[in-house]
Parts: sequence; C-alpha cells; structure tokens
Amino acid sequence: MIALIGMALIGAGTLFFIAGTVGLLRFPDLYCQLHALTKADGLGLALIGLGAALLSGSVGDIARIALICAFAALSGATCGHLIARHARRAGQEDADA
Amino acid sequence: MKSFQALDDGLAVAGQHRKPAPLVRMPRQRLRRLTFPAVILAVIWGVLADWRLESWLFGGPAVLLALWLLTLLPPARRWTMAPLAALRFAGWFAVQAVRGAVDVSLRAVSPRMPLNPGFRSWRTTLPEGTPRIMLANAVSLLPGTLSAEIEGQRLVIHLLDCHTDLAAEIGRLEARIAAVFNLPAGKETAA
Repeated sequence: MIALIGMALIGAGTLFFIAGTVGLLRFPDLYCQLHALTKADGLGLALIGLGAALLSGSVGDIARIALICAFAALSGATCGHLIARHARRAGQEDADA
Repeated sequence: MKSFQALDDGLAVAGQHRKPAPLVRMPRQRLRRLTFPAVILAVIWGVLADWRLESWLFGGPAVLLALWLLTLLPPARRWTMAPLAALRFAGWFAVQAVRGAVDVSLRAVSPRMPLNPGFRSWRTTLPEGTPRIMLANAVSLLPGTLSAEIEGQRLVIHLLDCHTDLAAEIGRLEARIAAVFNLPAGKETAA
C-alpha cells in the first residue's frame, strides 16, 4: 500500500515536471518561463522526493531526500530571482533572448 | 583576546617583529561566531554523504570554503523566531506553493494559455535582512508571482496575471513572515 502511494506521488511529480517543461516551451517571455520552472519543477521534485522517501523507508535516506528538496527549493527561488533581475538590468531589447 | 595579546608581546620580545599569521590574529569572538555554522555545515555534509569517512576528502574542504565565504559576508543581525508561528508559516506556505505550481501548470497545458503578464512594484514593511530575503524567496513560490528585484524597500514583482490582488496575496505573506520573526505586523521596523 505504501509502495503504491509512493509510486503515485512519483507519478504526480513527473506530471508537474512535464507541465513545467511545457510552460518553458510555450510561455512567451523569460519571466513567465521562470514562473513555470521555479514553481512547477519545485513541486515536482518535492512530490518525487516524498514518493522516494515512502519507498525507501530508511531514516538516512529520508533525511537526505528532505535536505535535497529543501536546498533545491531555496536555490530554485534564488536563481529565478537572479535570472529575472539580470534580464531586467540587461535591458528590454534582449530580455526575451 | 588577552592570550593573543600575550603571544604578540612574546614575539616582539623575541625580536621577530613580523606580522603574525591571519589565523592567529583572528579575534576569538569571530572564531566563536563560526563554530555554530561549522557544526551545521558538517552535519549537513554528514547526512548527505551517509557519514562515510572517505567522503570528508571532499566535504572537509567544502565546509572550510563555506566558512571562509561566511567571514567575507557582513555579520548578520540576529533574529528571534517564534517557533509556533514558524510552524504555522511552513504549513501555510506548503499549501500556497502547491497552489502556485498547480496554477502555473494549468496555464501551461491549457490550449488557451491564459496569461496577462506584467510587472508591479510593492513597498515592503519588513526590515532589511533575513525577513526581506525570506519575503522575496517566498513570493516566487506563491501563485502567479515572481520576485524580480529588491531595491531597499521596493520589491519588483512579475505577475502571470497583472490583475492579481497583490495587496491580498503579498500582504498576507508579509504578516505571516512578521509573525515568524516576532515583528509588529504592518508597521515600519527600523533595521
């Protein structure tokens, strides 16, 4: 049962990664694309981590997965901000590069 | 501090009045300031590498490098945190992050792709330092908002839908962050 829930969570996480990638490809400008990457991929990773933690069950693995998810969320938000800031400062003409 | 002074005097008496190594010069207070981060970083590495002895070949230098970078940063103000409010914030934030991800995913896969993007500016009442950084990072995970710049009190926010009620969304977030750091909500706080 737990294995089933774990696999369902990993499947749901994959869907968010796909949606994030679709957003990256379809959204019109860099800022909207960043929304897709920071938010959808962040939740995708959290769901896959949760599912993997359920499947593994060892305390060390769970702690590692939690740390990785926390750092990924932190660096994702920070990198998104830095990329957006750089694009703004670089000027409007190459903002959509 | 006193013992370092004595060491300096000793060197002077011995007639070798050269500059001591920077490590010796480092005030004890600064060393103590690095102890807590050193323990935290070592534990993080230990957990990540499953406490394998040979992993410290990389982990040791990485921890030292991080500590050295820490000494280059200006000392941060210490914030008191309210544990209960922090817990409540974590729960609320998790729900918002899920909402944000679902919102942007639905927009991405919807054939119509409902977007009405634009920038808006927000004047934050949170003091400089950790609370403001936390706000900027949290804004990026809230539904439809992305922090694009912080200049002092001004936060430039990119919106997927520029008709979003910023005051409601960010205002609520600000109040919750203020509660985490025991700050009076909605009031200017001198940094």
